[in-house]
Amino acid sequence: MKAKILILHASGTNRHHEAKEACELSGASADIVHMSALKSKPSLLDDYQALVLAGGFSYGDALGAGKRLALELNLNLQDSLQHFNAAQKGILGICNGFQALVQAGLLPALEDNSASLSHNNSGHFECRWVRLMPNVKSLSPIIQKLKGPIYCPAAHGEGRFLTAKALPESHVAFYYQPQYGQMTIQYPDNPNGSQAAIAGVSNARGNILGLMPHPENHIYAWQHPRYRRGEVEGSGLALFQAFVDFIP
Amino acid sequence: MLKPFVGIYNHGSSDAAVIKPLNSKGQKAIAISCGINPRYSIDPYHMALSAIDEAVRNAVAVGANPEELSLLDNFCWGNPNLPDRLGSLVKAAEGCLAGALHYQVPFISGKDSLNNEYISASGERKAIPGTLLISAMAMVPDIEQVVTMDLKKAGNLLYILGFSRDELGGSLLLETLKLKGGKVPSLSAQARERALALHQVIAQGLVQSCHDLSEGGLAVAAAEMVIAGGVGLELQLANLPSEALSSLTKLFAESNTRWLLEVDPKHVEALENHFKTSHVPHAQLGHVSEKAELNISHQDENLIHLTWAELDKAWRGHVLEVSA
Repeated sequence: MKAKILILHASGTNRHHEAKEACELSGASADIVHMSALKSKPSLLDDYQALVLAGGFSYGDALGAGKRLALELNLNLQDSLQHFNAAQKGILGICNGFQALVQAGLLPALEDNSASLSHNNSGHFECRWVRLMPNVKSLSPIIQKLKGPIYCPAAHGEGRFLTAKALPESHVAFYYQPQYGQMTIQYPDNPNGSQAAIAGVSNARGNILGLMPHPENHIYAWQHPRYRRGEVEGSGLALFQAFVDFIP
Repeated sequence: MLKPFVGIYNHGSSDAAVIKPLNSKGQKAIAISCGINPRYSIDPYHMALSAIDEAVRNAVAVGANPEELSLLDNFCWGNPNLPDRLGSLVKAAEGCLAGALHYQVPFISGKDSLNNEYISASGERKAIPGTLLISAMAMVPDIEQVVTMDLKKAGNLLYILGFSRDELGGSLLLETLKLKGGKVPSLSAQARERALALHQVIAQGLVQSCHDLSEGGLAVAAAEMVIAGGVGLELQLANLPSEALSSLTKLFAESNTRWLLEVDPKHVEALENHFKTSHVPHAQLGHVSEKAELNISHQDENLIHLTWAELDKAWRGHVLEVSA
């Protein structure tokens, strides 16, 4: 039977259709469910093996990126999310979804450390393609399945990952990787100034995963910006396939 | 599918964007392009013709079919109750009509923003330059036929399609030299045929890269292809299809309906045959070189010698630090 994935659509989310397409191409079935439907019936979550919080600008980011979505998760869905997490089902947060998971305390979920996604160092919205290196020391079984880097666009204003204390390396899912052969990572390859060039993180068990860039926007070869130069590497589909494979 | 910026560092200016809507079946896609030039507001009729031509040639450059194309207009003007503002608006609208009839394409919608006026420091009432933005939407028959503007490979040949005239009115060259005068580019009676001829060679896969000639003319278009491709161009203007022109005018005239095409030597015969049969002016100007620099000469006279780094700095405003 196909794995069933719920794609959460909060008002202002805009990448849910791409996320659904990526999940379906990876062999899962995916339903886009609006937050209002889930709030009125949180038990809906029980029908699914995985949850994707898609990117966009939920609630206009009026309280800060992902903050109100985080409040909604904690106030209205806390019990069902706890069950979901306890069953080690998969949760993937992309961009705004990642911001919400961090603001809600679900990532990196360390008792003695706090994390945030702050305004980019550049002081403005960054929209550019970035190269993501999966962390070989990651504890997440999803990340461990990845064979190579992912190349996909980042598009955010608040993506600088910061923690009060240094994040244990095992919680890092992705690092921004230098492009064009540089040895050190710097702007713009690290688009936001994240500490240690962290692009994505996981919880300790690795079933909850979040990242700022958009792997769902590179799921066909022709989406590569240099496709007409014959470059095809780094499909974001690899992450969705690993995510679907992970689903129990 | 095709982004606004293309090329080796994703920083070359694409002629158009190509979008393949999510869940759309098959190979078709949609090109979206624009044409605008406020410097041409000195001659609103020809500004409109030029804006339409630029939007069309941008779309066709990336692989769109000029026979499946539609236009939008966007007028930004002063107070149309004043005679000179209304007069220029009417002239621009007449240009839109002539351009649409020539290309046999419909205007499907449009927008205006009028009464853009202010009082200058000396108390004089002024209007913004009457400015027309034309957008084009066109079908791309197959995403595998999409062509980008970045040079691909040393050894390929560079062609020009189109005819160059003494048209420097409103040009980037005259603005840079702080000069006035000259003719704003007109529209050739053969413009549509050239667009069709280009589309056919692109659809046959004979073109490796393509870039339209607009602000700054041939020299700027060639420079942009070098910047985006990271390789060089060696060009010779003696064969340029043109009126009798000075070399400076050959470099910077902004005549409409012209493109630069990068062609693999194995496709030269097919391409030339097609252009000859279509009776469109074209010429081989030179080739793509391994050394990343732009060299343009006219017979024995070296006109331009610029390295990739110099061009890139001029384009970005700073130097790209690359250690690859």
